[in-house]
Amino acid sequence: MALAKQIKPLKNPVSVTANLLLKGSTVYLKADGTWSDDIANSAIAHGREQETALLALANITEKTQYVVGAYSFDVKIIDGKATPLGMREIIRAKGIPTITPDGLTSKPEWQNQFTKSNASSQKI
Amino acid sequence: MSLQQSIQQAAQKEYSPTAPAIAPKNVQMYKYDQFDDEFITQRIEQLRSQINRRLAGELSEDEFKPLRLQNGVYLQLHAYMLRLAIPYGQLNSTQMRALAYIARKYDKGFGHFTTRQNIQYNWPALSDIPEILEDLQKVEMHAIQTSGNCIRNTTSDPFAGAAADELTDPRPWCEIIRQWSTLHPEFAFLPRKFKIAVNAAEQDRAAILYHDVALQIIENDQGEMGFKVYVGGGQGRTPVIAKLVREFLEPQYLLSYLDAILRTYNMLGRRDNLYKARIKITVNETGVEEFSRLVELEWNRIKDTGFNLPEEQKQTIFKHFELPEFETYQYDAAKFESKKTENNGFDYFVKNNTFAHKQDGYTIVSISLKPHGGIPGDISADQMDLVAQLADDYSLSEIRATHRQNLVLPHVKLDDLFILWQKLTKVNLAAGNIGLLTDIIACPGLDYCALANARSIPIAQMIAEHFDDMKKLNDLGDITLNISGCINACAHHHVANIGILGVDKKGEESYQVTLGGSSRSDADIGKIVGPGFSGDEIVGAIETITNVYLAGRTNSDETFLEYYRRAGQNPFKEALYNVA
Repeated sequence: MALAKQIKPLKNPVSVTANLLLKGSTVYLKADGTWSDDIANSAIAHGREQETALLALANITEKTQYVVGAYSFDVKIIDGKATPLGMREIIRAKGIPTITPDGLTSKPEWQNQFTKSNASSQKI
Repeated sequence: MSLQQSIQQAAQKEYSPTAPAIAPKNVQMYKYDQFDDEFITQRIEQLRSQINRRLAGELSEDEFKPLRLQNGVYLQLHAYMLRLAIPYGQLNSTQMRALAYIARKYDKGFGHFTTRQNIQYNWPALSDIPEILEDLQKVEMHAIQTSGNCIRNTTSDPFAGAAADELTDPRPWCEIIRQWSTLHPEFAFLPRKFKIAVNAAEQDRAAILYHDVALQIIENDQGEMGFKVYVGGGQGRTPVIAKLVREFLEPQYLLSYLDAILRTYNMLGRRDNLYKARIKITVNETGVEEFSRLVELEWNRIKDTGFNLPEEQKQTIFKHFELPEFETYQYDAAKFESKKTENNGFDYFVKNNTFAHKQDGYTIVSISLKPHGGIPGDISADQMDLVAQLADDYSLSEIRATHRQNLVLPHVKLDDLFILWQKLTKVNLAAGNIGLLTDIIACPGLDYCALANARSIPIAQMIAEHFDDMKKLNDLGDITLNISGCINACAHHHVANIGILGVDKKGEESYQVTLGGSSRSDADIGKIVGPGFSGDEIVGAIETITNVYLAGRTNSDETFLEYYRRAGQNPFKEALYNVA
């Protein structure tokens, strides 16, 4: 009981992400325990218990050598879908850097944006 | 298409005015023998087996990670990253073509040169890595010890073996250290990574004083060559300038002395705290006098009985680095000067991107990987192929990578310089900004790196775009500006005249500015000037800093660093923060 009290509630909803073991690309845990490269498909945890359950689910597939390094991260919900909070996860969700060198074909539409509103409200 | 076919095809592109050289014959560099080749083969097979075991679930990630790291394989934000070793920054044209081939076949068509004279690929699949290493092996390259808590790639002066101002060529000594340190059984699992740098010129062009061991080649009063040995330099969250531990080390004792340093560190270094595990902390906690005493004690015990390089093996290695056959000719000085007068761009290129060669009629040419709109250190596969061809045509097939993330053609005839510049211009590699404000070092930052807190590349591009006027850049003169995306300081922000450190401030990217750092012989660590700036504000802050310098300098001969050292931080603080 005393231990349970020490666990802080979530500040924001969270989703679970990892990298594919073989290719390293970013993926998101879906509610059925499979993975998607689109964060919009990710399962969303609204409390610690749900977060723990999602991480346990991720752990099962980590043991099958499909993904590596699963962790939860803050999201906000837009139109019922998870979108990332914070530049690190925004960049991961895009799957390519914000500045694209020659050789990368697609170019994100939001490069060079630094203002607070831009950084935190990107719709992925 | 095979690697050899690709190299052949690249060497036969239409821009080649001379016969293509597929396998450069005269490059003065270490060449693998049968032992090296077998050793690399074994190593690749080991890694292939480790990857297969990881994929089969026989190795956990915790078990696999240190193994992949010792082969240069990281897991970053979007993909794996593979870091390849370029020993002391030296490449031949065939190797450069192989790097282009790898960029096309396994990556996304580009590579990134790092501040440790290495190259990184940002997108390889884990399963492709053994194949990449096999392709690298064909051109005598590998990725061994480019990461992990071991002795990393030994770095050096990118002008080594060519510079007019060097005492001797440091490369043979770097090669000796490379061979000694590769898979050294005693030093494979050190408390933390370990970096050695060697310089033989009066001016430090390898930032040696920020390495775990710095070796400055000197001559004593008797005219004998030896090493001045410094220990405990480094950057990261605790920047430290290396401390002198031995005024003069006879060269025959180099390896036993390094053994003694490493052994002392291995015994005393802290394994309980990742952030206190580097030798700089060990030296600081032990005290440099005591640390030196312990090193000397160990060295005296092993110097005559331990391992020192046999003279015959030393001579064998030195033979690889004998001076190439330079052409003796009378260069056309009048024509050269007229080309400078006719072409502003060429004039700037000559002024900033060339350095005095030891051979009359030759020059050392730096190729800036910070062109307009470019990403510091990035180079496309096509550009790699062109540089390889230009090296064949104009630089005895030799190329160097610099710790400032540029390339060097070390042996260019002055008569060839104009046509070389013209060819570089066609592929956006002729920026004449070496040593100027836009010659920015930038780490991959949050765009790629799993450790980063903020982006570096967009900041570098915005600054470069703002300071695009060559006249103004040249007026600002010699300034270093480095941008790191986190406190690990891969872009050496601590030692830049103007350093920028990206931090996470309550979920937003913020940029802290340091002033007064230097990575040269007058080494100094920059000091934080005040509160950080947002990504939108940082270019304006740099503009303010340069304006303070321009307004305050005594004349255009006083460099930014000289002004800073004279005037201190106050004029900058006042201008940046409106404080009196």
